[in-house]
Amino acid sequence: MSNLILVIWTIIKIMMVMVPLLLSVAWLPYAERKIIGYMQIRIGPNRVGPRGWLQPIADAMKLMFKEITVPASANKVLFLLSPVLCIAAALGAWAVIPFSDALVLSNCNVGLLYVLAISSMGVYGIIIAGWASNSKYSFLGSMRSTAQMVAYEISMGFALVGVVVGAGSLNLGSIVHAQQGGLFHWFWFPMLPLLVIYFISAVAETNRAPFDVTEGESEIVAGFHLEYSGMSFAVFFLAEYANMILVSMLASLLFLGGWLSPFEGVPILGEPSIFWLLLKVSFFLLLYLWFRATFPRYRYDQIMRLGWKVFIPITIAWLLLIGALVVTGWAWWNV
Amino acid sequence: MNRLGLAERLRNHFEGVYTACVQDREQFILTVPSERLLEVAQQLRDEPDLRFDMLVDLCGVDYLTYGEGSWQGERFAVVYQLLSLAHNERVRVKVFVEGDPPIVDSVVDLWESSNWYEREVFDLYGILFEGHPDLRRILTDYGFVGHPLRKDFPVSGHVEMRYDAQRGRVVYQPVSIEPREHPPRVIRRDNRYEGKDLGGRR
Amino acid sequence: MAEIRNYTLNFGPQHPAAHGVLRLILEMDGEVVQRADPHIGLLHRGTEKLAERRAFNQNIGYLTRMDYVSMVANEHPYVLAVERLLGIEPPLRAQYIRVMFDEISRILNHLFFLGTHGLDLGAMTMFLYTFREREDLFDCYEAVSGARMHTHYYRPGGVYRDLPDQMPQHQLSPWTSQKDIDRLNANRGGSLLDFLWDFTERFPACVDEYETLLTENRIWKQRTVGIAVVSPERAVQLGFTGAMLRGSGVEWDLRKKQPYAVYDRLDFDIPVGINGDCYDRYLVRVEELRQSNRIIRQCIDWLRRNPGPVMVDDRKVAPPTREAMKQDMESLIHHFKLFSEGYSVPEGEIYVAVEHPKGEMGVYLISDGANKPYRFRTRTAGFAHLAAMNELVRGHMLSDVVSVVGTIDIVFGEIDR
Repeated sequence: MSNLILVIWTIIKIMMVMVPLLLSVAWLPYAERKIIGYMQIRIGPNRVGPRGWLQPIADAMKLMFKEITVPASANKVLFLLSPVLCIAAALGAWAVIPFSDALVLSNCNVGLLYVLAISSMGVYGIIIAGWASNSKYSFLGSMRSTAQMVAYEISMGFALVGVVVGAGSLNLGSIVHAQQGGLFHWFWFPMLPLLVIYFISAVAETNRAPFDVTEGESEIVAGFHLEYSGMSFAVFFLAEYANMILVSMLASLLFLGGWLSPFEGVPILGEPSIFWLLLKVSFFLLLYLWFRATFPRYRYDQIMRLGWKVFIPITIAWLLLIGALVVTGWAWWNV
Repeated sequence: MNRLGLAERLRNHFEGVYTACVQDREQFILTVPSERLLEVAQQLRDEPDLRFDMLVDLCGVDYLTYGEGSWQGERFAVVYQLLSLAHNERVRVKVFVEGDPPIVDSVVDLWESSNWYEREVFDLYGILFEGHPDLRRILTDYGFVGHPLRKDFPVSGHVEMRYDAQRGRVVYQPVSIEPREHPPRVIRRDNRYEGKDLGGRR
Repeated sequence: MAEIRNYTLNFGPQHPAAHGVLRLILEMDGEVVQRADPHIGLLHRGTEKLAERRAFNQNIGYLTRMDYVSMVANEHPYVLAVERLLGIEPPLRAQYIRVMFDEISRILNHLFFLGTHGLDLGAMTMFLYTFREREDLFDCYEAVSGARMHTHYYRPGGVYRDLPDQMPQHQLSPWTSQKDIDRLNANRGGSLLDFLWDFTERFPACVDEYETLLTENRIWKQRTVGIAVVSPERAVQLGFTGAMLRGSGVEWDLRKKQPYAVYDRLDFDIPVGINGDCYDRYLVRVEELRQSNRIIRQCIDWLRRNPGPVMVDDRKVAPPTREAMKQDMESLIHHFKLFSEGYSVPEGEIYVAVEHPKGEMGVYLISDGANKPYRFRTRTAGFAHLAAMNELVRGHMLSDVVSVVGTIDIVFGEIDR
């Protein structure tokens, strides 16, 4: 009996994470269209509902009622499996994300490792999608995605190792706690290069502009999801946006002190709150959109060069520095 | 710069080669027999006082119905528009050809820009270019029959396309539309232009 | 052991970066292009054949639709050719108007180039920024000819009508408030020239805005510097003209070298590149935007001070006014003959070239004395540029194909004709 209650309670908790997440995933494209719209001196969606607020619902309806076409020469099983793989990885990682001291689905001791492991699974979905579609464009897209993922997973991993060394823990909650003590105790300050590299790598990991060569709209049309339509496409789409929110969340937790307030010590304003966390996540999401509106797209070999020849050496060097600070006891944030 | 006019230079170089060398409305037109084309072209490009280093355009002309049939001479012409960047001059070389199929030497070794132009002339006029590396059709459809810019090719063409529902694909069939001409072609001699110097009349 | 061989990739004709209907057969070794074979003709409309069946004035409409990005500039070589065959010269004011509209279409064309080139390389915002300015210039087209794109405005002997004294106004609609209307109409109070003057005041700042987004952008430079390098010798050999030739460092602009219309009376500079890569060609075109702006200002200035006729006073070529037609028998006859049969052009042949925004656009006209051209041939710049596609992309990556397609600024209306 108690087992049943546990299961039900767990499902309810999962729902409490998933429903707001999926809602924000649905409205993030709307925000993207609106914000990029304003950056590009146009209005963006404004027909469905007041100021276009119901646009995501209209989009969802359209995608749901569209036929899912499977190319004749595609591998049917893998073709339909790959979007599932993508979304599973994108949502699965949320299990260990803490929203505040108490609000966490699973307070796992190796939370960060789990996130890294799960989120790198997502690339299999992309690779399989490109291969199963049996189209040259899709295949090129998935090849690019694989190479890019390998390169940036490393620099991203190294950047996070810096955080782990600094905090002395793999538990996301403890990492946030390690940053207590005000704005300059947050890890963004001692580890600024790591933050920059982490976020750029994260943009590359999620295949967003200017690293969107796997989709490469003007070169390989839509890359790995070229042959997908209707809901199967929508699932890729959702996974992409869920991943965006995930890496923004991670960046805020690991570098910007999660739910800690920037005004620590000030009454009321200084209280840690989920509000701060959401604000920080929104900031990173805004950066995503801003990048997209500003930058041209990298070429595939230039991305590789940036990842292997620039980011990895910098992260390793900074890692050594952080390690030295921690070992010598000069790490002022560890009080 | 005290040098000879282009007309004199052309005459000096090609005396006895060309069949005509005229100056008309400030343009120089050099007509050469097709067998001497390559030799003339080579000189036009390489002689230091000519240096026509750019082939701007190459096109065909079909004189079949010229002046309502008053044309005497070969039916086809290939026209080369040459430009000299060094001397800022233009010259037009015309080669008249006859035959079935008409054949002209390709100038692709002298001016690479002629590659596609010659393909186009082949496509639209059916003039063959000897020595061209890749003489395929270029503008018309894959599997097109005929040479559409010849004067005996009707404007409406010979075939049209439609979707055949029974066979489930697009098929060709003979054209169903009537050719019509509007306005009718007329040649009127305008006495204002007879025997006058046409340059710069206001 | 499986045999490793190159594969072919069908790029277009339905492809986001195909700029219309380019079909490229790419032979690829991984991501590297070994050979490119452009297949064109999917937009072939047989303009040259059709033009042989139409009276001289009716053909202007075909010309406008050649390069549908710089519309009115296409008409220029044709009307010049007909004028030279007829031996007439348009009034000076008409020539100034033509130059002004040529430069407007140069800006239109280069803005389109900038926008689509940016879009192809992922800088989506450029596209929307440049189209904002294009919109104003379309309004100029519309004010003067009634059509936003295919103007049919130049005529042998001048231009269709004089510049209007009033700009069309935005009207109130259920979707726009009075405030928006007032804002949109703010610079439309005066004549076309006032509106255009206002545009030229704003425009240099807009160009600066484009440049801040692209010129010093590292990604933009990585995508364009050193891509598709053409040496000056090769550029001449391949028949490049316009910005493609100037980008390679060859100082050649027909507006300066073989001036037509009133270009010899205007003050402007010709930008020239150094390395002959995509980036230089981009810079050349951006600078041409500024120079065109300068030319337009000079034209506006002259046009404001010098009113006068815009069409030759020759009833065999130019139609009579409506008033004259209603009172005067001869005018009515002229009108009828002109619009039913057209005018006969003396026997002869002519090649006229102008500096079209994309390069040299030439019209080769043979008349046998009839009211229709015997042979009508257009030399368009894009054809020669696209012919060099194979050479430009060989050894580059697939993404660079997109840069090259952008940099040669192709529009299929003029390539396929």
